[in-house]
Amino acid sequence: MSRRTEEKTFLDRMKDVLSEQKEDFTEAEWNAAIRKAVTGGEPARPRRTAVVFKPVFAYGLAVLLVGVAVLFGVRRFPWLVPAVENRPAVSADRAAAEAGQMEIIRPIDPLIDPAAWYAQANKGQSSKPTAGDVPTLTWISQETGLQIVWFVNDNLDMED
Amino acid sequence: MDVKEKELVARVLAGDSTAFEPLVLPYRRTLFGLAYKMTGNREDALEVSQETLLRAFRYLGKCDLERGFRNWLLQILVNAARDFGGKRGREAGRAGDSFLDSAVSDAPRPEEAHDRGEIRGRVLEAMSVLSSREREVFILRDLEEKSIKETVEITKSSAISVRVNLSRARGKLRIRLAELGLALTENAR
Repeated sequence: MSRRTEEKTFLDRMKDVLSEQKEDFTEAEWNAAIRKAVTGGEPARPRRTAVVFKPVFAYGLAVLLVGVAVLFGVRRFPWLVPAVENRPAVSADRAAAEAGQMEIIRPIDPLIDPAAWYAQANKGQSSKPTAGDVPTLTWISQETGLQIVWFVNDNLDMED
Repeated sequence: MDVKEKELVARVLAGDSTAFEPLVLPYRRTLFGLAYKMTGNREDALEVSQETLLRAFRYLGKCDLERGFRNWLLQILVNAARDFGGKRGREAGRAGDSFLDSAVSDAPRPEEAHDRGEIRGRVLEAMSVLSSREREVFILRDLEEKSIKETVEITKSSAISVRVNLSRARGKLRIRLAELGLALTENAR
């Protein structure tokens, strides 16, 4: 007997044996089951509203995901968005007017004695540099490289 | 789903609960028979089929009228049997996969299996070696003669899963039946 025939015989025999099973509800069991089912709760109505709202939910979710993706992209990849000038706009005449008064402030070399540097920066001025240590604060812009050094004078006024 | 069933479903959904019994009556024996094959004993089959009817009434609004009421009902039955099997297994402190074991544990020994009723008991006992998935697929496909597509729909699994479980089930059953002295081939008749 081939394997296929044997398999078929096996299954037919299984069906034959199990089909003799006459198991069924008794009338009392059936009636009780129906009664229990019917009194078990109200049947759920078809969810028409859910069908209507489904596309709305889908679109809303899509918009939300795009928003999150954009936010993530901007934060993670800043080169995706154009760079913005971080300096205030200065009018040409004002810039020219200020040009004469502006003094180039060179970055302080940590190896230079701040007092000596102060003396050099104020060369020609009548006021004498204060003897002793001169407290300074240095601000370096990471974007432009501009460095600003504040010196604290005797009155503890900040002057740049 | 035929027109009559659609009408009955519509009536039940409209609040006429008396239409529920004529709706499920044609499947009365199918429900109980399938539940019996899945659980292996009458009491459990009664509980599973009752739960099936309860869920069918409660969730009738979710029934896809185009796909057919019968398969939807069988799908509920399979789920109810799974839940029941899990509950039984947990209660017994076991994995919960083969609640059929306890159902047939007090069946007579193979050598005492004289008549066909006892052979049937042996066959049901042999089915206890199957996992719940294997048992479902075997019952639906080989015993209830559902197509692969219908079996997939009822068990909510893939066609590959159905084929694999079916093949395993047949192999396991053949071995188990041989161990029980029931080869179920021509020679065994």
